[in-house]
Amino acid sequence: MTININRTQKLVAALPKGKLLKPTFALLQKAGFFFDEADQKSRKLIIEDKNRMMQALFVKPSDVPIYVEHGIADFGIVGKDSLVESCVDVFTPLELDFGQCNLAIAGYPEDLDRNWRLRSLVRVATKYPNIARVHFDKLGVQAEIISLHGSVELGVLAGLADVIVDIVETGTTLRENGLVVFEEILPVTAMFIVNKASHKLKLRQLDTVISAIAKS
Amino acid sequence: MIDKQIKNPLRLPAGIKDYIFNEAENHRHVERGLTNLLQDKGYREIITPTFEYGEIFEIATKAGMLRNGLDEKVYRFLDRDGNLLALRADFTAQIARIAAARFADIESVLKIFYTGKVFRAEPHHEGRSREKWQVGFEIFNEATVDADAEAIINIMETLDHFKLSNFRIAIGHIGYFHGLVKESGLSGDERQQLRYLVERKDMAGIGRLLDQTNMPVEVKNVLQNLPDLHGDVSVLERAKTAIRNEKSQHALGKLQKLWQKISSHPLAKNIFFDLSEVEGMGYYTGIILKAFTPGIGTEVGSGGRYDQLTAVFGTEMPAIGFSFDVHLLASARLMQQEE
Repeated sequence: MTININRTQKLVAALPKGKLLKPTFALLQKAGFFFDEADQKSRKLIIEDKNRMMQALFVKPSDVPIYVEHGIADFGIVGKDSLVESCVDVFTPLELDFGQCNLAIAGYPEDLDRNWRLRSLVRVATKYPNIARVHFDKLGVQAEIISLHGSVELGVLAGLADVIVDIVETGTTLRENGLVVFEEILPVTAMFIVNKASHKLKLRQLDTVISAIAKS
Repeated sequence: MIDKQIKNPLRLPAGIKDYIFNEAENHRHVERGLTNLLQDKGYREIITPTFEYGEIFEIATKAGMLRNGLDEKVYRFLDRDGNLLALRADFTAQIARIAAARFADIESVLKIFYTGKVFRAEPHHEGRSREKWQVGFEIFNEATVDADAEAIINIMETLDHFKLSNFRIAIGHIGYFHGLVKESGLSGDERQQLRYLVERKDMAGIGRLLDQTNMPVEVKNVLQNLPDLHGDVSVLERAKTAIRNEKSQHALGKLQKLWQKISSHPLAKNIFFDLSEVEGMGYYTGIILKAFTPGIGTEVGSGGRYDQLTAVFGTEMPAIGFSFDVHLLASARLMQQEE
């Protein structure tokens, strides 16, 4: 791997843009890192905490694992769905108490009754092709994985796929489109992940953050 | 749409590279620095073949108690007679074969170094090399901590030679983990799972796995907190409490002794212990070593003790070895020079 870890003595964090961001800042605050409110909402891509001890990179959630594996960030916060899908080699010392949801297979209720597993080929629309592949292999069901980038439910409604593999939080989107959950694949929560070299090179700083979060 | 059908004679498979002029010189400089240093310390070179019969890497990965996935990364192919051959995936397996075949009658200490490339089918993703340039050394016929200490001093002096300041060496001992696992009574599958979880320091996952099992509560507690057992030498004392099995105690004793040997070395401040360091070749039986330098997001070298590997080739010879990644050291060197 050609990896350029950050060379700064400060801790560098990869933070997920979107839903997980607010609880993430709250978590860092508990560990003693305060970020300016204006910065949190700005369009800046890199910000620093008030004590200049930590740099935070704003990253698309599915990119957080790569930033951490390459050591550009020492640690990151990311949903378990993105983490597992990325297949990266990182430490995962903490599961956090936010971002809970489920990765599930869903489709038309008729198909659930007609036992979708008996099809010779199941067409699967998903943003998680790696997870879907491994899961259908485990089931022993031949699946054609169709990788989509948004609104995977449409894949089923429009006839592109038989089922979807996607995140289910409240189930509202599914219900409104007449789809139901067939089975849950992976319980998801936000994870605290750490680069393997940073764990050795910035051991004390990271241990302090991890134990502060674990205790909170 | 990108047409993959059109042949492009300029393209390269992912995970391999050309080194041109400056980069080539920088890499050779690192390679020579490493081999000269080892030569000066009395190590002698073995040049191993680029490919050989496929079994060798399979045998080597099965020598240990736990697999590490190397077997799945070996590039295999058939020769014209239908023999299954494999590209060199691991130097240590080859050197162990050579030591067992050629030096079975030698009882004195044998010190070997090598340089060259290993080929591994890494998953195709972001920048993982499928061709790794390694320089490494092996010490045979010395089962005491003296050889372990020599290996660590070699590593420290090498990194210091390249002026890689603030490097770190992590020392673990697979025996500590093996002892706990044995005491726990976990099944083979559960052991593999546990090792994977400990490798990733996945505290929550370890908790879930242990909750499903029936084992003495003391063992459960130690396994649950394993990912926290890292730091300076005091961690060995911490690790001792609540340990009753002999194998784990023996491992801690070895590490204590090792520390007595190396603690007075001027570079010893760069050493720390990590008993949750269980990642590495399946054939490791004793200490496990990893080296890190600022600026590189993964280990720049790794190794460990493997006392039973040569036995699968017919002769038991205790041994310890370590290999450096030439590309990562060259990158680290450039990076520190730029500052």
